[in-house]
Amino acid sequence: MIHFEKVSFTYQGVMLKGGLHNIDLTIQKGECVLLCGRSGCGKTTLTRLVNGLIPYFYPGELTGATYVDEKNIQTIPIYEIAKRVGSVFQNPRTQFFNVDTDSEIAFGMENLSYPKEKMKRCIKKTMEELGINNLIGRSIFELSGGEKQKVAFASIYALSPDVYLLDEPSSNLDMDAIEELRCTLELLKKQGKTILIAEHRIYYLRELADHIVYMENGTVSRIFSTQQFLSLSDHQRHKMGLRALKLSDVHPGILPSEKQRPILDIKDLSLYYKKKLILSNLKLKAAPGEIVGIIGHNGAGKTTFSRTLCGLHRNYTGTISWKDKKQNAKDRLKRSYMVMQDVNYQLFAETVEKECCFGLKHPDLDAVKQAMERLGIYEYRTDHPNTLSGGQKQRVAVAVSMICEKEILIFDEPTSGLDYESMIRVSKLLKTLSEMGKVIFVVTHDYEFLTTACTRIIHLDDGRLQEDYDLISDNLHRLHEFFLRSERRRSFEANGE
Amino acid sequence: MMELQIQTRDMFAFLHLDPRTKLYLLIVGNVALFLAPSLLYEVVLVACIVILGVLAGAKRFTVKMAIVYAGMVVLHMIGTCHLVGTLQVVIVTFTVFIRKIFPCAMLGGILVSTTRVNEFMAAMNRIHMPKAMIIPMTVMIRYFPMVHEDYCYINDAMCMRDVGPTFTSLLTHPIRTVECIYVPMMMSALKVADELSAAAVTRGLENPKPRTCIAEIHFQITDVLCGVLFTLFLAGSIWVKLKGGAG
Repeated sequence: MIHFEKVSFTYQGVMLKGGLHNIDLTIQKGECVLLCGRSGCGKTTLTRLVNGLIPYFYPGELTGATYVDEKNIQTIPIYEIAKRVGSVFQNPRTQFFNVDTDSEIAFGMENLSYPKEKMKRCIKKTMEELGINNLIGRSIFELSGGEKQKVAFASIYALSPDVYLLDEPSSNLDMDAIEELRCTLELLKKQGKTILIAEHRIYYLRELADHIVYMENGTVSRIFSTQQFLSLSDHQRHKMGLRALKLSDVHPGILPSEKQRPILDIKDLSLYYKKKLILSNLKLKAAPGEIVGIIGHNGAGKTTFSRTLCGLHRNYTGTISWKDKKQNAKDRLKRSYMVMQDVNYQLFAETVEKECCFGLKHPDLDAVKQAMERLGIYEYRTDHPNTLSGGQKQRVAVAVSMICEKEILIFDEPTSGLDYESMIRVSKLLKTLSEMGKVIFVVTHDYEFLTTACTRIIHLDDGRLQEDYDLISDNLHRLHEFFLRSERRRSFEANGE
Repeated sequence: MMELQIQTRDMFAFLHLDPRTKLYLLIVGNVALFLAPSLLYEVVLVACIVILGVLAGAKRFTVKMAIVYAGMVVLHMIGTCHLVGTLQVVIVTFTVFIRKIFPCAMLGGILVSTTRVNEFMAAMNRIHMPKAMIIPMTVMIRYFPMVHEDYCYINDAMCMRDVGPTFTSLLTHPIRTVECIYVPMMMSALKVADELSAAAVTRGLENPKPRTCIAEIHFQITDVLCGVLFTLFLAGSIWVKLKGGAG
């Protein structure tokens, strides 16, 4: 049982968002509770109270008490908490302490001084129960995001804690990996574990969660039962800033019907990675203003394709033309720009304004100002890019692309870990760029975002272009087909039983 | 641009050294290199490091580093024998500097990339190193292979801004180019270190009880051989230095 008693918390220093005010909340043993709300509403902070990271790791002003199984968490050392509470974090890449899977699963047990025989037994049991025998003895650098997440889970599972905390576990996962995550959670629930999940993407949890705690500005604003939660109307849900509950409820917006003449022409494109064929014979034409969503499973070549389009990946055959002129890698580097998933990698300067002029010999200051104003970052022009929020950083990167007059823009997972309103803001940003006549590509696993933002879908899988269609209501079933496959498979199985 | 892929698997490794031996080799090797009395002596020592690297399983990394080193040695010899004046001074100073740094980096890279994090922690526990020192060192070992991943992303980002880290840009805009790599790398390192520590702390890393280890660590005959070999090199260079000093 977890019990929060009049808990208030304010982070120390610069991190002022996400504090808590007077939280009273009880979670019974064996319950699965979903914490949701806008970014910065305090849901992550609440999980940090339970695993002891607050106040031990993140100092600040704390009043009230948090109890796990009648014991006040603040009075026991954090390595003791580790035996009762296991945590899985957002980014699978940075929660690995070892570089091979076996040692990683053993990591927690080694810390808690398990004898060797017991460790071996636990590892074997964990791998069998979680169904990850195929991941034995692998290096983490060859694992996909979903596989990393599974190993991170296994490392916690081996310690068999009573409480599991998950902080936005799905934000770096694709559709199939989310489905597998859901199965793992189901298993834990059957074992009677208490589960606490802070999450933006909530559709996959709708049958698992016993209660849904909606938080606002650091307080618990409402607690829903699953039934109540599912009966929320779209309007109410959007007002609360929440993502879709069911993927089948999402409908695309109305799209501009008139299309311009194609300007980008890709012919017989085959991509290789170290002599291995990744994608073969791709043919594609795109017109200015099109927003093309790229979908496909992990390893389908989405990243390689976008890097090739940008001129970053040079191991390919075929031609790419712009206005009937053949473009080599250098031409494409000049013409195109990718907004990365982790946008921090592409910000170099000390202020937003300098960032916008960075690397240019004769920056056009009017254009810089105009771009910043258009994207709503003009008021931050003297701030350091790193003090901005994720969405603002993204817009700085887009401003750069506008100033450099890039014509092909590629977004890599622009909505990972974003709440509903931020997602809508990104889709509006894409619309603005589309009106400016840019050709836009979006690599994403986010169904809700695809339907609100894209005008066309291309589906890459099994080394070739599987589908290419305009996203109009007649074609919506095809997108459903791809995304709901794993969901539907599950419901078939459920009906069969 | 040279790609410094460090291998992390030791499946094909013939030589599996104890982390304690590795730490010893790193210290002794570096001092021996620094004191190396002649070019020939240094080259022989580097050859030993290369063999060590190949046997320990870090083949690609070692071979690449060895090629660059060989290039430096050739450049050095051309510099001393066939050039005169300022150019000679510049080339020789440059190559001597690189020649001293490179093998150290190579040795460090080989040893770090072939060490498993949990083995390292267990070994450091055995020699009663305090936890306050082990944990930062472990995070460092863990972070090295990630540098390569980060670098790939940053390189992409720089190319798209037309400030890519090419040879010409290093010469024409050295500060800007270094800054472009350095700034995002620092930001990423800070974030990674923070998240890594949080994930480790919630799994009981700071438990004061002695840590157990799933892998066996113990000294083998190869540890003794490598230790003796590197000690001999060190002794040799000190001996030559002393004799040279006396005579």
